[in-house]
Amino acid sequence: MTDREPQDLLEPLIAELPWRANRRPPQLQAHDPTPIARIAPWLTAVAASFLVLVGVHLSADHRQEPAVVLAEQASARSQPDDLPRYVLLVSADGRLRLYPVPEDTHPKSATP
Amino acid sequence: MRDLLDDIYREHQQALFSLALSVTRHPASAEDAGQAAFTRLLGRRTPPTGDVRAYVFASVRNAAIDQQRRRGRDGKTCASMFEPAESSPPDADVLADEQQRRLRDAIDQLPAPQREAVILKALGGLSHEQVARITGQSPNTVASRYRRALEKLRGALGDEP
Repeated sequence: MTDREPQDLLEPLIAELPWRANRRPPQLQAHDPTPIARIAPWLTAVAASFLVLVGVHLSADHRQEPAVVLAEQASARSQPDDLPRYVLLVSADGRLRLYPVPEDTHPKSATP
Repeated sequence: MRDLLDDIYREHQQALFSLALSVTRHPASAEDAGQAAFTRLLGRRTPPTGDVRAYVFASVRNAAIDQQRRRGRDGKTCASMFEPAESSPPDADVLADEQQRRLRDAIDQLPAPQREAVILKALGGLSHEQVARITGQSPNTVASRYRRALEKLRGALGDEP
């Protein structure tokens, strides 16, 4: 070491003492990242982008035209010949809501 | 970065461990401190700049202080910084053994800041400037602590009254 100061005569004696040894040295080599760990940040970024895209897509869908019908109104089940007047849908804010089927699009209302 | 840390560890492993042990006075905690410090250093995205050697020593010291805080006053501490003395063979240099024993005892009895200065200077081969950077003290304070520590050690060896 170039910046080493002049040694005191005691220093070699001190260095030769039987200092207590480290029985469990740090694992410097074991830290090598696995291939999965190396691409993990990329995977995370891709997954996050995918989820954002899906979310945007679904929100846009729900704002315009409900796409997922989860259940029919109970009254519809009691009248087999009747079509459901309400549908349970995922709204744009992500909640489940009952939406009335518009009269003009309801097949029954179109019947003369 | 890993190669640099590996080199620093190989060169200074005894001083690094003794520094941690001087803080914790508990071998397992000192080992944990070394592990924690190097794991943190290896996980850094950007390598430390400047005096990396001093940075590694400071990291181990900080990790040891953390370990010590976590442990509190619980648990056993080791009284000595040195391996338990083995029985000397019949042809051993009795005078040298006695001198070594006195030196060990004197180091064990030093106040912590002085012992730290001895470990970093005499065992780690670091400069006063580097020790100052590691301990957060001024180089003058470090030099003065080290000088006082050596005086005590000389006194224990009978070199000085």
